[in-house]
Amino acid sequence: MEYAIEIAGLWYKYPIGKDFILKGIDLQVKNGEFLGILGPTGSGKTTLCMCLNGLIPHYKRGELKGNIKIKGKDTLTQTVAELAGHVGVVFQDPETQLITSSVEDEVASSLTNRGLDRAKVREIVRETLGGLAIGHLKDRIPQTCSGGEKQKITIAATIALNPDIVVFDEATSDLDTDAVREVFSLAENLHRNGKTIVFVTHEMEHLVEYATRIIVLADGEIRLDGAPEAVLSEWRRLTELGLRLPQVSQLAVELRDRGWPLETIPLTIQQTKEQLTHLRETKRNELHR
Amino acid sequence: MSFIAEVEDVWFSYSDKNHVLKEISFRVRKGEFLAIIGRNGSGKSTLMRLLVGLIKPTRGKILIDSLDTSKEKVSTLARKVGFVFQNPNDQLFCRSVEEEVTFALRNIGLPGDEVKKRTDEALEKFSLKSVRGVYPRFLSRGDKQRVSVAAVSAMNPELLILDEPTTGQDYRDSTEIMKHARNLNAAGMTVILVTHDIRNVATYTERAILLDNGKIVADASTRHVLTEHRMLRECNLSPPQITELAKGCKEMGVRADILSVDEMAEEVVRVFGGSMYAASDREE
Repeated sequence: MEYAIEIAGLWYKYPIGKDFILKGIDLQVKNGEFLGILGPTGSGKTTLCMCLNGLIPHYKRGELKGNIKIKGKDTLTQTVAELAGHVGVVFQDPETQLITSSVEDEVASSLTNRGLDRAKVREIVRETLGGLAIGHLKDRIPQTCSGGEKQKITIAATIALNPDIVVFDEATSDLDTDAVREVFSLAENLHRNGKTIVFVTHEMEHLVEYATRIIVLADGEIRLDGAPEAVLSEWRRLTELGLRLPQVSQLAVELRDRGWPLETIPLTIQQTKEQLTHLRETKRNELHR
Repeated sequence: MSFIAEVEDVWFSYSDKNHVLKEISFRVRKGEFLAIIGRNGSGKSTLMRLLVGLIKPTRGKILIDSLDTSKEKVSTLARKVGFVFQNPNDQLFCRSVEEEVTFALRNIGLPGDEVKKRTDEALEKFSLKSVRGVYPRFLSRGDKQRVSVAAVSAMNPELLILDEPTTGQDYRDSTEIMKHARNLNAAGMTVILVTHDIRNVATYTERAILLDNGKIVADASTRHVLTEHRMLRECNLSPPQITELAKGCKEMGVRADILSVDEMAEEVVRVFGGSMYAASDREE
């Protein structure tokens, strides 16, 4: 099976809302992709995430048209519990996901719910916490941990079930810069181990370094879809949609406006340095000619 | 009196064991736009609660416009200090946007016509007139945040504290909130911005206090603090991406204390000797 996620003609409206929040989404995500989702507030990003793990339409009923397949199976025919084995979602606010009185229990609870025996649960918890370098927090009360630690605990609880698809829904919004970086590199590790990653964020500077593909949502529709370089080359549209470009990309746009012959819009500091070095050499050669 | 806040050797602990804040001393001049930065758990929010008087120092003293927060009621201090919470849902509780703005004004006993005047002004200033009758919970997060700032600034506090006002917001909403803050500051209000959005710190503030592990690690101009790469790293923070780029281009002759894209563009032009091709020769 080639696709982790297949969405066709998806329209969705919340029970209390007047308007459709998702308007004709068509999206196929291959197994092993690292998909970034950008979009202004209210564009439908979180609603789309809730469609992936079945919260829509199993808990939030509303009106749904079109279909969503996860690993080839329609989400309508599966329970949320079944889907949890395939799709794990890490939300913005870890507080809403932490419910037990120890970090170990937090990670164990979803496994125990699946009926795994105690020894197996312990083993998985130990491995998962160790893998995220938070084994030392095992006996702590989750509520007493720092913001970054809390988010790592929710990630541990999510990936302990070994889902094929891991969704990060603005999971880095409340974190300091190092913790943001850590969450991205955790996602990258999962990606390297074959997981499909869906990463919703406003942090374009980090996203472009990790994503293999980016879609841009606005007003419930997919407006851009492509490799990070291709999406960033549409910087005018991104800006019009109210999205903040990485500063290095913004610099290139500004230098172009001042008459500098920059062919591409760089995504990273490294690419920009190379571009500037190249420009300097070109300029020197011109002078010596 | 030129200081709106004076914090003198303040210590604070929630329990007897650990001090969340230690040896905190700084003064805020009237009219400043100051950033308080630090990693998650560094003590930023605790410090802000102390400034508002919601909690009192375990040791040391805090004066807000010469009033000792340990001796004054929160309601007295609330006339001087406005506090906008990180999550607008913690702050909004009325049935309409308009009521949200009038609530505190009535509460401090302002006469009806003054309440109306200030409410109209705030709704106008924050572009909320079209939603004045709307239930605040139905608004988007960005709009809710704007209502919170409008309600607090209508009180006309001398000091406005914004606790992570842009968290979870897109660029457009976040820029809008920050521009409102800048306008209030330009009109004379002292603003303290608590955040880990370093780009906003670089763009809007003049001075930054860096907290780590309950202590002040740095208190200097924003440019100075945000270009101390190693110090920031040790505190789990990073300089703006453009500042990192400037540092990486040092051997090309680029100065390292760049804080904005505009500054970097100017610097590239300076170092490389102006535009390489005339704009008219450019391929479009």
